Amino acid sequence: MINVHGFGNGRARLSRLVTEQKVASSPAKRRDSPPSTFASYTLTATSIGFAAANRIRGRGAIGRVHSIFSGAIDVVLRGGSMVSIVREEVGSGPTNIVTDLPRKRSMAELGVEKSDQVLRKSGEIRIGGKRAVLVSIQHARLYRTEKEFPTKPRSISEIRTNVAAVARTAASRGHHQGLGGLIPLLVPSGIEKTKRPAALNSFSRLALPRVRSLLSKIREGRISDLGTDVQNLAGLGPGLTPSGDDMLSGLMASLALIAHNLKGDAERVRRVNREIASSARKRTTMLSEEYLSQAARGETNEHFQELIKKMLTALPNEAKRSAELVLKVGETSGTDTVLGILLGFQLSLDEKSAVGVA
Amino acid sequence: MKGVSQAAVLMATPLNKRVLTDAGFKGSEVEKAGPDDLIIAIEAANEEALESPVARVEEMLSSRESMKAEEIRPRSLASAVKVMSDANLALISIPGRFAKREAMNALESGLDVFLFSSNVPREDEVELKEAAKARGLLVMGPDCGTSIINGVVLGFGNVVRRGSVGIVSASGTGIQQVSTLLDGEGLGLSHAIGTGGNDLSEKVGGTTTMEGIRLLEEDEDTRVIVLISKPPGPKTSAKILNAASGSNKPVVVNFLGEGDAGASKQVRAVTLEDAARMASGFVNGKRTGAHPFSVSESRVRSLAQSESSEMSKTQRYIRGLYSGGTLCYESQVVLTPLIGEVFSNAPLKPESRIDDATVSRKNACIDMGSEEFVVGRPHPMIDYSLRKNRLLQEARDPETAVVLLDVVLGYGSNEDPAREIRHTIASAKKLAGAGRRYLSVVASIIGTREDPQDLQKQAKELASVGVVLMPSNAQAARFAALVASRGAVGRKLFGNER
Amino acid sequence: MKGKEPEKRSILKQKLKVINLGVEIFADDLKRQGVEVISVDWQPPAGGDEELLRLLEKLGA
Repeated sequence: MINVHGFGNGRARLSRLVTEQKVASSPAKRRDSPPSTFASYTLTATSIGFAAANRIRGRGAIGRVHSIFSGAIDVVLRGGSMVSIVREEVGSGPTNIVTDLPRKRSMAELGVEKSDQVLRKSGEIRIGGKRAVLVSIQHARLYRTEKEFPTKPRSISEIRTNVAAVARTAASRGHHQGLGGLIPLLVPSGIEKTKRPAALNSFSRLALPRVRSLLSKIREGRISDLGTDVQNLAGLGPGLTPSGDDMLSGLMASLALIAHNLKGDAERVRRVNREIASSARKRTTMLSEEYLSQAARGETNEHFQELIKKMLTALPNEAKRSAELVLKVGETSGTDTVLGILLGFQLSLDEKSAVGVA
Repeated sequence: MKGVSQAAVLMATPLNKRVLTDAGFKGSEVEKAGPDDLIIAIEAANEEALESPVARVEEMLSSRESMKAEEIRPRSLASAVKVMSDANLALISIPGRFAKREAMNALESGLDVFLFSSNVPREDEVELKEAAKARGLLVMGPDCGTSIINGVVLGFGNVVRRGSVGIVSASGTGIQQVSTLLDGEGLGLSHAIGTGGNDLSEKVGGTTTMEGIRLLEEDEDTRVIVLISKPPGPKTSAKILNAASGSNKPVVVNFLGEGDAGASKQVRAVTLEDAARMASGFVNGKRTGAHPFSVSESRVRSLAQSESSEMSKTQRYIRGLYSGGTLCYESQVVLTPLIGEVFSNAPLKPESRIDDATVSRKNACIDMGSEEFVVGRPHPMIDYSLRKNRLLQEARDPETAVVLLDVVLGYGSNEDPAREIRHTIASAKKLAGAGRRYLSVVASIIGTREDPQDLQKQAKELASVGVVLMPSNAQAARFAALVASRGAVGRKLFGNER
Repeated sequence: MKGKEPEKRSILKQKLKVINLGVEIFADDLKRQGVEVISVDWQPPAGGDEELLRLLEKLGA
C-alpha cells in the first residue's frame, strides 16, 4: 500500500525527498528580475538537472538549437553535450530544464528555429535570433538523482515479488511497438502461465537473441565482449530515442542504483555500464547518446528513478502503481525502459551473476 | 490506412537503416541519412495514398514522445490553486520543518488545512493556528492522522455510516475506534475533526479543539459531541471542560484514563469504548450501563479458561504490540488497575517507561508506531514485518502468556492484514508448543463492513489460526488480563458490575 | 466570526475539493472516494548540501 515513513513522532512519517536546491541567491527574493532585453516569449524554469546546471555555466554564446518539438527544445553545447528545455510533463532529469510553458502552448510555436544561437546571461538563457525566447533560471530548483535512497530496501525475496508485479503490469499494460513484447519472454512473472505472449514485431525478433547474449555475458562478467551485442541493439527500433537505447538506459540505471543501495559490486557495474555506453557511440542519435551516458552513472528522469526506488523499497502495489504511471505517460519509450529496468533487477538479484548483490 | 502496405518512423541509425533496407526501402536518401535524421518510410499503392499518412506523421512528430499531460501535476501550491480555483482544503504531508510555510500559503489562499506532517515546531503550530483563527479557517494538525469531513476520510480512517455523532479528537486511532464501534451499532458520524496530537498542550491551548466544538455545535446534523484526547494540562483541561459544560449539545469527554462523573450533560468516559457507549446512549435517548464484555460472563470465563489451560507455570505476562499509539495507551489504562504496572515506550507514568522497547519485560505494551521503530520504514499499520518478528520473539520468551494486537483496517492501512500476519501467528503458537507452552493471541479488529479490507474475511482468517477476537481494544485488554491471571481478575471485572 | 466573510461557509458544509502536498497515497484514497483532488509535485527548497551550494554560487544566478 503506502510507504509513509521517515523521522518524527506520531503516526505520520515522511521519507526524505530528492534534494533540490534553489538556484536563487536569496530565498526572500520572490520577484523575477526583469528580462535583460526584449524577447518574444519568457519562460520560467522550475527545475534544472544537475548535469544541465553544470553545462550551462558561463556567459555569452554557449551553444545552438539542435531540434525542436512541441514538448522540448534540444540544445547542443560546447563539447557536444546536450541539454533539453522541456515542458512540465516531461519531468525533471539530469539534462533537463523544466519550464512553465502553459499546457496549451507548444515549444515549437515560440519562434525558435534550428541552429538558433543560445546565449547565457545572468539568471537567464536566451535562445534565438529575431524572435528570441528567454528562459529565466533564477528560481529553478536543482534536480539531482538520488543515488542512495533514504528508505531501507526490502529483503531480496520481497524485491523479487516487486519485480514480478512490475513485469506483469508491463506485459499487460505496456506498449509493444518497440521491444515490450520481450518482457514476458525474458522476465518470468507468472503471466506466461496464463497468457500466450503476442507475436513479436520485427524489432523484437531481431533483438531477442542479442539481448539474451548481452545478459549472459554480463552475468558471466565478460565485460570486454559486450561491445558487439550493444552495437546490435543501440539505435534499433522506433522512437525518437530508439527502443534498444531505452532498454539499455533502463538496464544501466537500474544496475547502478541497485548496486548502490543493495551494496553490490558498484565498481564492476561501473565498468559494465561504461562499456555499454561507449559501445553505443556513433550508433544512435545525439540525444540518445546523452541519455545513455547519464544512465550509465545511474542518472535518469525522475519518473524512472521513482520506479526503481519503489521496486527496491516499497510494497508491490506501490511498485505496480509507479510502473503504471511510467507506462501510461511514457508509452513505447516507457515500456522499453521498463524492460531494461526489469533486466537490471534480474541480473542483480541472481547470486551467481557477476553483478549479483546476494 | 488505406493503400498503405508498410510504414515505419525511425531514426536513421545504422541498425534501423539496415532494417529498412531489408524491408525494401532502399535508395540514396536512406544511405545519406545520419542517426539524427528521422526517416518516414511509407510503402503505398500510389501517390494519393501517401497524403494522409504523411500528414498524420507530421502531426505525431510535433509532439515529443515523452511524458504526456494526463496527470496534472503543478509544482507549487500557488499553481495548484490556479488550476483548481475552488479548492477548499489542503492536505499536507511533507516533512515537518517545511510544513509551516506551505500550510501558511494554504491559509492565505483561503483553504482549510489537514496537516498530517509531524515534527512541526510548537511555535509554528501556534502561529498557524492563530492565522487560521483570524481567517475563520481550521488547521487540523500537525500530527493529525485522521479526519472525516462530510463522510470523506482524510488520512487514515474507516468507512463509517453518516449519523449524528460528532467527534473532536487529538487522536486518530481514537477516532477510528469510536467511529467503528458506533458504526457496529448502526449509528454514524456527522463529522470527525482531528486536531493533531499537540493541540491541547498548554502552549497551543486547544485552538482547533475549541473551533471544532463550535463548528459541531452549529452543525444541524450533529446531536452529540465526543471529545477525545490523552489527559491535557490543567489550564487547557479547565478551558475544554468549561466549553463542554456550556455547550448546547451533550458532550462526552474522553480524556483517556480520567474517569470522573461530572454534570449530567458533560459526561466523562474512561475508555474509547465507553465514549462510544455514552454517545450512543445520548443518541438513542437511553443510557446503557457499562459491561466489561459484550458477551456473557460465563462465556468469557470459559473462553479464557480454554486459553490458559495449556499454559505452563512460567507464562505470566501480557505483551501488547500496537500500531496505534492511543490504543496502546488505552490498553494500559485498562490493564493497570487489573494487573498492576505495565511497562511501555509510551507509558501512563514516567516510572513505567521501558528501558529498551525492543525487548519486553514483565507486562508490556509497546507502541510500534513510535520513532525508534519507524525511521526509514513504513508505519506498522501498513507494514507488519516488525510486528511479525516481535511476535516470534515474544513466543520464544517462556514468560509470555498472551500477545495482544490491534488490527486496524480502513484507508491508509494494509490491504490484507490477516494474510500478512496469520502464518506468523501459527508459527508463533507452534514455537510455544514446542516448548510445552501455549501462546494465547488476542486481538481486536478496528474496522467496519464497508472498509476496503473485507472485515468478515479478516475475522475469519485470524480466527482460523486461533486468534481470539474481541469487539474492542478495551475488551481485548480485559480478556488478556483474564487469561494471563488464570481467571483471578474476574473478581475485579465482574464483581463490581452495576 | 472575526475575519470571516458573510458568505463563507464552514468546511463542514462544503463539498471537499482538495490540494494534496506530499504523500501520494492520500490523493489516491481521495480519488477512490470520488473526491476531486489535485496533487502538487512538491520538492523541498535549499537544504544544505555543501557541494550543491557551491555549484549554486558558481551558477551566479
